[in-house]
Amino acid sequence: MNPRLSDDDVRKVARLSKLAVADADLDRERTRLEAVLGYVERLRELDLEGVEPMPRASEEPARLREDTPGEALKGDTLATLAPDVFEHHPDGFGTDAGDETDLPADPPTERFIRVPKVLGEGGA
Amino acid sequence: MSLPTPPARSDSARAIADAVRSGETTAADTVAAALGRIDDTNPRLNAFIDIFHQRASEQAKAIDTRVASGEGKNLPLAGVPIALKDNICLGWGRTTCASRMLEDYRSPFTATAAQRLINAGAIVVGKANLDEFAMGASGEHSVFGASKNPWDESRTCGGSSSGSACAVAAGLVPIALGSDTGGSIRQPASHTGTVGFKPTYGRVSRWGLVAFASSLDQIGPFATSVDDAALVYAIIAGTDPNDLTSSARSVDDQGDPLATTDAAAPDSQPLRIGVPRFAQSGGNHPAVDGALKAATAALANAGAEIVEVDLPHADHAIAAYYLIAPAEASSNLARFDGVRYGHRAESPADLEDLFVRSRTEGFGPEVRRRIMLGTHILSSGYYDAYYLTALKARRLIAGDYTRLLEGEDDASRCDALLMPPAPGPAFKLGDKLDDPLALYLEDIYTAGVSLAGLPAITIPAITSEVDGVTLPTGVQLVGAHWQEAKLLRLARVLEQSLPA
Repeated sequence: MNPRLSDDDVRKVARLSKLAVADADLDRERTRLEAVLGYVERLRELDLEGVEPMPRASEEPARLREDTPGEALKGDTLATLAPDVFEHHPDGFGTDAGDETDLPADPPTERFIRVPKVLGEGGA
Repeated sequence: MSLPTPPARSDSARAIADAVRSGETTAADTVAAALGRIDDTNPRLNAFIDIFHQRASEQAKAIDTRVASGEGKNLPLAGVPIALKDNICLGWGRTTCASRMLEDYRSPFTATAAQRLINAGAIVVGKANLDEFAMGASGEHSVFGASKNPWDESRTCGGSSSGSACAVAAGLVPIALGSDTGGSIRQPASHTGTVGFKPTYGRVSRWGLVAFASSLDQIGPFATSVDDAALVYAIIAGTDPNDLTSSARSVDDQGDPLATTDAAAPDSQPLRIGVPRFAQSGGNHPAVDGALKAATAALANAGAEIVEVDLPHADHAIAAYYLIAPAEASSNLARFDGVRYGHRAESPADLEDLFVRSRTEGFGPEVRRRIMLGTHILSSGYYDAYYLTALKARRLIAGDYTRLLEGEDDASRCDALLMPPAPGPAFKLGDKLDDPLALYLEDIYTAGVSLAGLPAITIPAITSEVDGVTLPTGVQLVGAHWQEAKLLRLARVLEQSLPA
């Protein structure tokens, strides 16, 4: 039995993946997904009754670390990684910092990662 | 102009470090020579994404200063030029994963495995090319273009650690780090005539390795000899407080896993090597059968007992792997959202548009395909039928290996399994690009070993004429969990027993 996917199935999985598939590519992507899903059908030949799933490659017991504060990357460092950053200076004037590659010598007190409006008229 | 066949080799890492430490040469000269080779060759081979001329030269001088002040004995890799697969974070330069998504990403920290090599005196001369996010078996899924095989530039180096294999095979560096999820070290090693070693899952810290499939990913070395692979392994192995999936068990062979033995029969007498029947089932290229035959004969000559063994579920490994790895990838790669780091789409209309366009523009077609496959099989209504089924199959597939390698019965237990790393030698660029399943089947002899988490090493076995060119073909030795030292000793026995 080879699994068949509809164009809507492909659109749905793209949406869940936060990816876009152009209408012109739907056929190709559907065919490729079906090819892999068809190939893996051979797993149905196995008798898996009573077999424990094996989610990890290791039988080592999981290690947990003490729940104590440790060093982490600083907020300013993280802000330099973000592709769109807004700097808020204490005097109230903001500047764009999107092109910064190095931390300024005297970092401003507040840096924010910019995102499109989340709340608004009618919702996103 | 094409390179001589076989390509020229670098001096071994051990020889370079010895020469730097004894003052016979300097790290500065060694690194300058490596950079010169890279500048000459890289425009053709495309092994490197970025080359660190200035930084590497400065660090080499710093090593020379430390050697001059008597610190050489603490630097087992003094002045050794190395390459890092570009999914391994480094605190300078870019870490791109060969993806548009991370084209401008600069990691704020250095991966533990890389830092340990740097602490040992190694000099990172550049970041090596790869299939985007380590997804591929040919190096062709790189936004920077494929690496070309130094043995025949019309062929791939295999993948996904294509650039690491290429750099070592072409003599640009003696050692490089790669990562192996379903064969990404062992298959390119076979295709380029290098040694490629994947330690036991959990043996080497993955802190700073960009995650692909977290229940499978492992960092390991490429080298020109088992000796150099062991040297690198001993430095990078061991627990890391930053990676709780790194094993807490001690590495009792740390230092020199090869030191404890003479040539043959390290742990039992005689050695028993299992050759799985499924690895000889008729689907292999003649070069692969030739390599297996040569290795079998070499081990028999060295006194090993060769036995045919069965891996009853091995035929299902690719199916289980191509459900589990994409499922984990779809989850791991959800972090790329255009907000915190990585590619961000211009002028997004809203948050959803920002996510979708950033990801669609940032990821290449194979990565997008695997994310969609993984998302599909994890989605409501399919999870049990696909993901859970694959995890159960994984138990059976892994059980085949552990029964043979770790079973209670002394009379039937094997010291190692001998099998091919891939069903054929290096293939032509473009040959498998439009047939993803054909490319997935490159992993047929490596994916099951990864699902079981076992250590395995590829070593070059033969060179042979393929379509008018000379190509190398390797063999893979698979060992028991945590028994890297024994596996490396066995690999050296095989290396020394093969005809030169």
